Amino acid sequence: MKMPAPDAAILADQAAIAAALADIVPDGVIADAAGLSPYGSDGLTMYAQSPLAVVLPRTTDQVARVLAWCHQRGVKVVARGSGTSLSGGALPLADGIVLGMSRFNRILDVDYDQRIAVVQPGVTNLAVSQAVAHRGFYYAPDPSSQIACSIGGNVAENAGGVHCLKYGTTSPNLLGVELVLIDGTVLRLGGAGMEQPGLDLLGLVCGSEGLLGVVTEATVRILPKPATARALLMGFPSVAAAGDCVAAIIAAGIIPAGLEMMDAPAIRAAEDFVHAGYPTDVAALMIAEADGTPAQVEDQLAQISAIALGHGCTHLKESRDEAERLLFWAGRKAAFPAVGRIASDYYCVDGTIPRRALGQVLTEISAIVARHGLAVANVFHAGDGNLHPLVMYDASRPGQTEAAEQAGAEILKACVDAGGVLTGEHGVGVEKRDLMPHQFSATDLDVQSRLKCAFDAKGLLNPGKLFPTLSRCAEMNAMHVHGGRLPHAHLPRF
Amino acid sequence: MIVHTPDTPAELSAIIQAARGDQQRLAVAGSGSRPGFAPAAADACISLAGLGGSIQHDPAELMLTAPAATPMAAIRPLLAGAGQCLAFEPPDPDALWGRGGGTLGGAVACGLSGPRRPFAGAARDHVLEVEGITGAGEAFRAGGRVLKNVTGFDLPRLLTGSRGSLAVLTSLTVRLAPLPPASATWALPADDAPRALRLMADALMVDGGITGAAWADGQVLLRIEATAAALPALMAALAARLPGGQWCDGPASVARWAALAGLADVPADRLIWRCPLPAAAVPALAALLPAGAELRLDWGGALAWLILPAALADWDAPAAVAQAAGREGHARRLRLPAGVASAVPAHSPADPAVAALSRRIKALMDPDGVLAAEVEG
Repeated sequence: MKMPAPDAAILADQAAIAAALADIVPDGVIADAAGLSPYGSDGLTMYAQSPLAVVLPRTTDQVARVLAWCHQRGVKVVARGSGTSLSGGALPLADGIVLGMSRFNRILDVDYDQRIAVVQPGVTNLAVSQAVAHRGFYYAPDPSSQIACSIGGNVAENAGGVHCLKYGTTSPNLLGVELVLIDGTVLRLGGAGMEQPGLDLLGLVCGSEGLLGVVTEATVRILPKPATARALLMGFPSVAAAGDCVAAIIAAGIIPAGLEMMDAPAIRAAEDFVHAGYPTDVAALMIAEADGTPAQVEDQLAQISAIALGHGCTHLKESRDEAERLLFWAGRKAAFPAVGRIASDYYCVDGTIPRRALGQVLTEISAIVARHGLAVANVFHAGDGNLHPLVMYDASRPGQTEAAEQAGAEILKACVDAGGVLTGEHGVGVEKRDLMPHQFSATDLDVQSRLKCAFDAKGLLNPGKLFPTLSRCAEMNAMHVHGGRLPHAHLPRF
Repeated sequence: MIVHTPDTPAELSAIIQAARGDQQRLAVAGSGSRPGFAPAAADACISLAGLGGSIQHDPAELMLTAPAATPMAAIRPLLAGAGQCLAFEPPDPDALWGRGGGTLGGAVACGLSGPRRPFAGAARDHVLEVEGITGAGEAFRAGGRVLKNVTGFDLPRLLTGSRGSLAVLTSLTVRLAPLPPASATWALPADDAPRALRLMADALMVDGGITGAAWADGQVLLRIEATAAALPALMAALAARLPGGQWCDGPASVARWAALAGLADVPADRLIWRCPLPAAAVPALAALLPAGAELRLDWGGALAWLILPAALADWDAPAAVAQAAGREGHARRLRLPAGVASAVPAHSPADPAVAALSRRIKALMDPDGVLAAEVEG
């Protein structure tokens, strides 16, 4: 993975830069090798790079001053939440600081009448739900890493989870942010209301992978917990039959709270690990969850059961109680570590496809992985078409890491070729950066990436992520002058 | 005024390129159904009605792709026939302005969301992919035709509600939802805004299938949508928790909410202000209203409608919203009746820092200011 060449002058100035930043955040600058090492990687551990320094601010004012200083001095900045990104979004740069937001760890306000929580970005996803649980509320987006991942990171990545199909990813659940631009400007976008005037800058910032600004506060929607939830376990003789069943459920007008699928290798790995009671003689296993009032849940599960039986379901089991519902999920949620038990390393790929292409794409995935001499287990957010092939490899064997990377890239290209996209919920980061031209034309990428010039014309925030190349902002910002005069000279210009 | 009617996106691109050279300002005409969102004065108009393309409805993938000029009147029955809908419940502009039901492009460009917004998301949450031409004349595509996608900057959200200020949208892919099979509306008396807010907050404190919470004509209206089998228990639970109301169900309930969203019953001689704001600011706003002004609420209180007689045309709604809600409230005048003048600006002023950022984005997407619609911050 090629990153921008480090600036030798910045590297040589490390001590002075750390000292200047320590003036702004006296107890929060790390610049020694041992102290920096925990920050070298995020959840995509294939890549590591020690940063120039780590700065751990406590206040928005400190963030604004650090960013303004870096802007003035030309120092790159990688913002980091809990460092759980699976796409290398928080991978440091040798000549850049890591701005760690872990000290922004307070829930500032909860308003049950307006059903909102105002939180600092370092608060973990799960902590929001825990803080409002005593009043019967929760925060809906639930990435698998929710015990550790931060709200700030969720906003940066527009993080998803297993309940996205019904409740949406982070963006629909985010009402406002306080955002600090690289020049130190503090903006508030949105808030306790449900619509902001003018351009939807909140929508643009959510999922922008740390390239546009640093979030120092977020206002999120909280929801009353459904009265009850029950899950169905369904086994199918083929992945294609299970895929058809998913399509039939959606076409029947049912949006389950969760609709997950696993293939045979993933089922066996999970069952051996968790003993969730999964049938190991089926080719595909689906978990459907219904939530709501008992009448809603009963009605929906009856409809799903009927559709499943009509699609060749050979194994059907409904959770009898909350313990069994959690057991059904335990296997699915432990699928990653379960695969980790049978393979020394695994690489989690994240693409989305139209659901109808499921059978075809899974066949292609098997062929791609076999071609590289590797094995794969598939877990799948079936309801919204989001695939997670887990490519198994052994990093200690020469060439296997590269083979896994290559297989992952080919899988993502296959997703795009089937009408899908490179990433459903993990983000582009460094991982999929160089694949962007496979999904977008040069113009498409240029139109997107030039927006960075409005926020960060010097390209200091998280460079080397998301886009293979960035627009040159100086050129973009030059006014087009025709015949020596500015068009529409009466209009206000920035 | 000259009206350009390109037959292809390439022709549209050429028209925009030519306008850059000639320093012309272009307005996207749409079908003219939303005069409250008309752009500033322009030298020429673009009609998208000549752009080819058909509606592609994919029920099993919950998706519809259509040219921007596709009439909503063609989309609604197509979706309803398949038991689907646009979950954000786009209000029918014909009810408000009487100039037709508008186009898909207009619905997305204006970005108005209906009563289901707090429960199913806003217009911007349902636009999956856009194709268009920037103000620089470049043909581009953003987003993707899948339900879950975080690949690249979220241009579909940025462009939804941007009113043609950054690009001319030519084709849109929107996310669909199942049409709720059954619905019922519980109408509770509430004489004033604080009482209405209390009732709506109480109703929404538990998960009870509510997909609409509004206040109009002294009644809080709570809509439940569900399958026919699940509806009775949800109705019984709501009536037990908040007694004293009356039910209206079936087509009457559906019609009631369509009328609420479109303000169909507001006489044509009234001004209409649309004010998204935190629900908590509503009592302060209500206290500022002059005699003769009518307040209605939707979105559980997070959307206020101010309906004024012509005699109050110069009453400063943006100032009142700012006083009640600070920077988190916003007012836009959707209708100024024919023959009525007003000294009040048509919308609240933008936050200066946000406006500066928005103008920088406009300059990147439309460097010569060819697209007549300005950004408002």
